Order: sequence, then C-alpha cells, then structure tokens
Amino acid sequence: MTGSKFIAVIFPYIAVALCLLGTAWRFIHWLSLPPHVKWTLYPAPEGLAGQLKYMVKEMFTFETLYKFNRRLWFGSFSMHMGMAGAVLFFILYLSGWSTKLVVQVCLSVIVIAPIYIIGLRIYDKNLRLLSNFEEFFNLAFLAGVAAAGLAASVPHIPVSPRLYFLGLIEFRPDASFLSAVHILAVLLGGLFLMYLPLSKMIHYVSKYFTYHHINWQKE
Amino acid sequence: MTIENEKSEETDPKYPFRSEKLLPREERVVRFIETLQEVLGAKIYNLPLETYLGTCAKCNNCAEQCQVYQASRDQKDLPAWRSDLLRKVYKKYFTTSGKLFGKLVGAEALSEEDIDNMVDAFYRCNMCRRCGVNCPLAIDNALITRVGRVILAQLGFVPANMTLSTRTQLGEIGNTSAIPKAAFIDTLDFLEEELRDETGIAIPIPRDVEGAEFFFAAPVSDYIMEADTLLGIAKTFYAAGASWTVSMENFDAINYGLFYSDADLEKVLNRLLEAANSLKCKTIVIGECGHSTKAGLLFQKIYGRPEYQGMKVKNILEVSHSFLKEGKLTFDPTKNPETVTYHDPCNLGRGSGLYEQPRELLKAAVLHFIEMTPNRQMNYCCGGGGGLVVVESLHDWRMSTGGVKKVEQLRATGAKIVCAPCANCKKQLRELMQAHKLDMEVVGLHDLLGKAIVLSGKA
Repeated sequence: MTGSKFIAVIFPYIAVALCLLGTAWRFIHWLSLPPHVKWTLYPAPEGLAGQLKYMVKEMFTFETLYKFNRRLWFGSFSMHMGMAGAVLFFILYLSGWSTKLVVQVCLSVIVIAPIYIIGLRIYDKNLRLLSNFEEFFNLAFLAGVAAAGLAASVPHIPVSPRLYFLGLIEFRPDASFLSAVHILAVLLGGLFLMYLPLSKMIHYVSKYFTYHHINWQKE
Repeated sequence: MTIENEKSEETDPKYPFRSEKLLPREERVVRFIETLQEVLGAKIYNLPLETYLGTCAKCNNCAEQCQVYQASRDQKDLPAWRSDLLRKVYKKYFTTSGKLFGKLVGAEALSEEDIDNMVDAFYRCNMCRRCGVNCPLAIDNALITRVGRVILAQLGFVPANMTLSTRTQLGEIGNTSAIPKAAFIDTLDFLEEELRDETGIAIPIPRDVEGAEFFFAAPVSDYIMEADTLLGIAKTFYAAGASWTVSMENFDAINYGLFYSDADLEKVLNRLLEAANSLKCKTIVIGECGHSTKAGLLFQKIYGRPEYQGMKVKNILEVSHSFLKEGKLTFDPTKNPETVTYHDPCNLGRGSGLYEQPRELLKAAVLHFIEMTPNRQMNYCCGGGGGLVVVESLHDWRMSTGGVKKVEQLRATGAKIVCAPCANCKKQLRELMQAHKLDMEVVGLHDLLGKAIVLSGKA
C-alpha cells in the first residue's frame, strides 16, 4: 500500500477513532475526578430548561464575548459558526440536500476568521501578551485544514470528492481517483481531528464541566 | 498545609507582607512545586484546575470585566495574565504536553522572579469573581488566585494580619480580635441595655442556649464597631419570635483561611460547627459578613467533619428574609427617609446567591431605594475583597486602584446611604468615602431594619 493510499483509505478511520477516543477519555477523566470544592457562581440558571436556554443562547450568539470584546467576537463567532456550518452542510452535501458552494463558503470563513484572529492577537497588545505559540498554531492549523479542503473542492479537479467520502461512510473507500490535493486535505483534516482532543480546543467538552459541574453546582 | 507558628522577623523588603517563616529565596521554587503537588494530591481542586488551567482560550474577555484592570490599565492586572503565572508552572511540571513541548504550549519552568510576580499579582486580585460571570469558557480566575495564595503562604508570603488573627482565633482566646470572654459578656450586656433604652422592651441577646433554632455568629468586629447591625439583628430575631443564641466560646465568624489556607479554613470552620453542635443547634446563622458565609456555604461539604454534615449554614439576610416572607416582620419605612442604595458584597452575591433577599428587605424598610449600576452579579467589588481590606500596606492601592470603579458607581447613584451587609465591605467603603470625599453614609442592612422595625405589642 502506498502512502497516499494509506492516507486516503486507512488514516481517516484512525483519525476519527482517535478523535472520538481522545474526547471520550478527556470526558471520562474529568467525570471520574473526586468531588471538588463547591465553587458555584451565582446566579445559576434554574433547572434543566434554564441551563439549556443559557447554553443555546451562548452557543448561537457568543453573547459573553459580544458584550465585552466585540472585535474578537467577530472573528471567533464567524470561525465557530463556519465550523458548525461546514460540518452540517457537508453532511447535507453528501446526502444530496445541499450544494458544494455552501460548504465552500463555510470553508472560506474558516480560512479567513482564524487569519483575522491571528492578526488581532498580533495587533492588540493585551492579546499579544497572553498569546503563545499554541494559540497561533491552533488557528493556523485550522485555517490550513480549511484551505486544503477548499483547494480540494475547486472545479478544475475532475472528479468530485463526494463519492470518496460516501465510500468512506460505507466502509468501501475508493481513493483511486483522488489527486494529491485531496490527499493533502484528508491528511491535514485527519491530523487536526487527532490533535483536537489533546489540545486546549477540548473546550467543547470542558465547558460542560466548567458550567454544569462547577459554576452551576447546587450541592 | 498549615502556616507554621514559629515567629520570625525575616521579611522580604520587596513586598510588604511579613512572613511567619520566610523561606530563603533559593528554596522557594522547590517548595512551590511541592506545594502545588500537594494541592493537586488533595484532589478537591483538580476538576477546576485542570479545566481552568488547561483550556483557557486567552480571549481576554475577563479584562473588560475586571475593575482592577479597568482602573490601572496595567497588563499585570489582566486576570488571564495573572492566572497564566500559575498556568505555566502547572503545565510545565504536571502535564505531559508541557513536559514534552515546553514553551510551545505555554509551559515554563518556575523561577524566583515568577514567584515575586505571583506575590504581587495574587494580592492585587479582589477574588471578586466578576471576571468569571461572562467568561465564554466559564473559567474562574479567582479560584486560581486562591490556589496561588495557598501555595505562596507555604513560602511565607501571606499578609501578617490574616495569619496572626487566625492564630489568635484558633488559640485559647478564640476570636480574631483577642477579645476576652469577660469583655465580650460586657459588650452583650451593653447592647442589651441599649436595646432596652431604645425600645423600652427587654430584648435579649441569648447566650449559650442549648437547642436554640439558630446559632448566631458574626464577624467579631461587628460586636464592637457595628453595634447598630447587632441591635438590628437582635430586634429582628425578637420580632420574629425566633429561638437563637450566641456562643460564649465561639462567637467570631471570621474565617481568613478563605483567603490563604485550606488548613486554617478547615480548622476555623470546624471550630464554628463544633460550637453549634455542642449547643445542639442545627442551623448556623452567619451575621453580615460575606467571606465567612462563603467559607461556610462552599466548604462545609468538603471540610466539615462527618458529624457536622447535617448542619445548615445560612446568612442572616436569608433568615431575616424568610421572617419577612412568613409575615413575622413589620416595618415603618418612614423611619428611613433617605435615599438608600445597595452594594452587593461579592461573597454574598456571586459567592452565595443572595441578591433578591436583601433587596426585598430594604424595599420593605426604607422609603426610597435606588439601584446602583451595574448591580447583582455584575456589581463592582468594594475594592477590598479577597481579604485585601485587612492589609494596611495595600491601603493606598485600595483607594487609588482597587476601589476606584466602586467610587464612580456610588457617586452616580446620588444616594445618601449605601447599605453593605458585609464587615469587610463596610470598612473599605468608609475608607473610600473619606479618601474620595464622598458624602455618603455606609451602614449594614440590619441597621436600617432595626430603625424601621415595628416592635409594638411584643413586650
């Protein structure tokens, strides 16, 4: 098996598995820690409905950042909505319910927004002080993955990658028609997935604990 | 992790904190790491620390909520920067990524200079938790500050008034102001006389009453310097027909351990629980004091001995409010005709959730109530939070930086009276009034309740 074939046929499964395992490991590890000091931050939303209302509002508006840091909100909100949109519309695209163009728009946002945030982290003296290599790397990595995805989707490449991804889902991946650009996108995407749960970007899990287990702890 | 009780005159001239036993400079790094390891070994901070230190996105949203940074505009007051001082060390010595990749992931070996920065930074934080209210990742820098202080205390960096007060409290005398029992009895007798003279009713301040429903303890300064607060509380209990008691052995609710030491916090807390238990009381009522309420409410489950787990800890605001709701209290608000505004003490508001209870009491007892802006969870700290109010060497800083936003906020209300049901807040606010020439009276909540409460027919 060639390296390219390995990346296209085997590596995606490894990446997804490691991403899921890593995320599960972080979740289980935090869940299994012994009782911690009560550190409720009042007022905590009342009941499940109140908590859901808070979380949904925060997830879809980034209100906390909007209120105090509008410039960063613009980049961060765009980036996260771009990511959510890319995943959602990619699934719809594979299902035949969305066009490739919508996915490309989302990917474009994921390229531009991190670059904007990198610029802000260099330009703003406080953000510059707080930022280390990891912050820049994460943003650049994400932009790189999206850029590779975008490059792999441009029309001059003769065969649509849609068939390849459908093959992956059906465990019958056919990489024979993929170009080097496709392989690069798959490689970067896979590496990003593997890196995600190991990095500080694990906040998609940690927020559950910082909100529900700490800030909103009742007893 | 207790502060050793050996006296020493050694001090670090760079910082105005006397050390109980200051470690030589070259030993501090090793001790710091060892103590951080002990903190992590105790497990009670692991979830908050791992999530707070491991996932902060460095968005700096906390800066625009921090009143200290708002006043100073000094990058060393950025909450995320301050937390990074500990974060770098934690990552370097206690995470795999930090050990492997070092500075690339924000991990750095600890230096003596870093410790100096922490001594400075962790004692410029009010631990008010305002910065946590709108953190997108729900990270609370105040907890990181607290853990940092707990570690620094082991190196000898801790405000001397705190450790000396706690040592006195845990010693034979049993209270932070070293008031002998006989003097305390005289004080209570005097307060009872005042009550009788003022109301014509023999309102008692019950002492060592076994089986009383409420075991009451106030910060010791209240008995001496805040007589009106105590009188108001006695009147409230009396009007409600409640069974309550003060302990002659342990009447001081202050728990400075909250600001620098888990071991001392645990001892002081259990001492209070023990006193209530010995009188067969089931509910401890803390007086108008934010930090001791929070110490009781948040740490009872972790540090209270198993035999005391059934006890309830409440603040007097909650108890008085329940009396109001039960229709046991009647007020004549014309007795308080001036415009009153309310300061939310951080430890009672963000720390304990007591936002509406004091407001409902105030609205019942005063003629004109006005909110300050912002209020409730976004209220500004008095500027002396985190125990800084007792650090005399930080007085100028508290006046020029820590409390500046509070002064602006108070001035904007135009109120004549600010009600602050917390002993530490009251001290800081009064100093601010003086320093900034603000013509506003600072009172406790029960001072106002006591003036307006209707006691007729209760004699």
